[in-house]
Amino acid sequence: MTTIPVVIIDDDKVDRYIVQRIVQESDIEAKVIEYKAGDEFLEVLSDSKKRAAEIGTAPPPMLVLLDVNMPRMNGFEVLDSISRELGESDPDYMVVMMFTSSNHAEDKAKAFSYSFVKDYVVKPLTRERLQDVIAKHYS
Amino acid sequence: MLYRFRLGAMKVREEYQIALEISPTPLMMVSRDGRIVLSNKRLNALFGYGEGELRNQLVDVLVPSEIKDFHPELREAFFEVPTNRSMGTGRDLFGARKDGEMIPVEIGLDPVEQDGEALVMVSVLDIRARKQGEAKIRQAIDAASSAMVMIDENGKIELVNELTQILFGYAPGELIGESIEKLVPERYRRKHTVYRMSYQNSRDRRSMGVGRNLFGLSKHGSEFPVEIGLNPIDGQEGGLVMATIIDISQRKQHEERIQQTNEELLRLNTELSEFAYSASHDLKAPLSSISGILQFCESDLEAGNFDEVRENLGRVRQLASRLAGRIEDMLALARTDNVDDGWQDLDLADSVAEIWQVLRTKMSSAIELTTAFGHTDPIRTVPARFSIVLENILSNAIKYRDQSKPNSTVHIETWDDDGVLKISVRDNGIGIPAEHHADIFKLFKRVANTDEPGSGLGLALVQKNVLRLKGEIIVQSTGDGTTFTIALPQVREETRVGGVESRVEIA
Repeated sequence: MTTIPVVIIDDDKVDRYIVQRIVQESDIEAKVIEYKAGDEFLEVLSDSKKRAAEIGTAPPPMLVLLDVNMPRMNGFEVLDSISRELGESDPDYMVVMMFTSSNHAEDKAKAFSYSFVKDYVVKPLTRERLQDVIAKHYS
Repeated sequence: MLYRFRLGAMKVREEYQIALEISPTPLMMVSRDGRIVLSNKRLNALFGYGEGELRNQLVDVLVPSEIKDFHPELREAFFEVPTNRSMGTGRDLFGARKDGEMIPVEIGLDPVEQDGEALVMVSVLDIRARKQGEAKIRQAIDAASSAMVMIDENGKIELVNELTQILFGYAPGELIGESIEKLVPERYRRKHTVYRMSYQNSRDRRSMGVGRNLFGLSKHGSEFPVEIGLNPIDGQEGGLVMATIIDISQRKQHEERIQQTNEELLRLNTELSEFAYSASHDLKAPLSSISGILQFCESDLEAGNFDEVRENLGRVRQLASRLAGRIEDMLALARTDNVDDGWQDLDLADSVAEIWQVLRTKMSSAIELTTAFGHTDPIRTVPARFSIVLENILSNAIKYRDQSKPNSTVHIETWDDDGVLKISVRDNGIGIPAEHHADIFKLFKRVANTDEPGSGLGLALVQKNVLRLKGEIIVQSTGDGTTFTIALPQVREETRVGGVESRVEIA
């Protein structure tokens, strides 16, 4: 039984719904938090880090599903910002999974150049795929 | 004594006569007063005279008429200081034949004294064959397809062909005796002198300045790129070099044109691969979502959750129509290059009304359109392109309306700005943040956060068509709304009757 929150950052309503439902139907007891854009997530991330620092605890762990192709700020720009936000600290608590319809080799290589990107899922997400990822990183 | 002397003199002359006759050279003996005392058969034949015909004649009969007048003077000068020499050094000499033909000759003068009388032995060489040979060489180098310049070991120009004169803009003969550096641009002259002198050590047959760009300098100061070949000529004079010069201006121009075309192709290729990348992604995204939703439909059908199935099928239908819309946009973009650029008169007010009518049927809530037309219909445009532009701008105004405002409005204003039709479309929608203004006309660039993502092609399509109409489009936007202003020059063909009047009307 896992209780880490699943964060989905995707501008597409349907794709967010798909993740919601797959998590619901899995035996994962996780809360799905949706963000329509990267900047919305980054704001919350920064806040929660600050709060954790104030009370002297480690920031809460999370599994982040990040879309690549989004308006304004694309997935790689979000990765850059996360990277800046995390700084030198080892981001053990954060597992980022790219979540995209592009299986372009260059995009894949670029994503894995970030140490906290642990997986790359080509849409659509399936139950099996999500369970694999959870088992791999949280067992 | 006197008699004997005369007799002796006669004898000597006879001896001369024999010597003259056996000589292979045309010869004659001439007295100080210009009379021909003796001439041999070869000389007679050269000038076309019979045996004895020339005796006692004035030598001036053999001299071209234009020289005749001052020839006696020259002759007198010779007798003042008689020396063995060639006549007329540096000048081309001609002899006049009895039949009037002028023949090129070379003349040698040898003073002889006989019985105290100063005479001159004149040898006349027929140089017609040599002159013909020279002319042939001249014709050959003039026929060469490159400029040819022969210089001596000091860099002085000895010979140039016709092409050299044409290429460098000099008159015939003007370059002879000049330094070769005269044909070299000022900034290279000093170096060139050094190169030239060191070349005299190797004297190999090669191209000049391999790997460097060479330039020639014309008489009127213009420079042109050249290619130069160096060929040593080892003759009696020594140190001669023949340089062949080819003007490569055209080749350079071609090279530049090819370079430009290559860069253009490279750019198009990059654009195309970017297009393919974005297109494949944007077409694939809705399909991935459809496939994701259909997996739920399967399990919901098994479980009998029909309401859920119905809802998801609605989502699938939306995604499918979004995909169809994207494909339509891509096709429209691809077709933009093929739209027939037929300029026609178009009634702008009618066109706006028609487009709005179509868009209205797709609107979920009423949006108010107001217009303030300050132009005069008809306008001159390519109707197909004009519609694409207006349709996309207006549909964006509808799509990005601000739901939080009680009324959504679109206002179209037109006016004539010195022959340029200006159209501004102002909405009170969500606006576009300033940092995205530069991106909105780019292919596949979407800057709005919306649950109904577009193709990212609409404004790219607008800009492409505005450019084809030789116009411009600019965007101004704040949180209160967006204004697109389109400038379309009203091109009127000069031949069109009443064209000027139409222009005045618009103004």
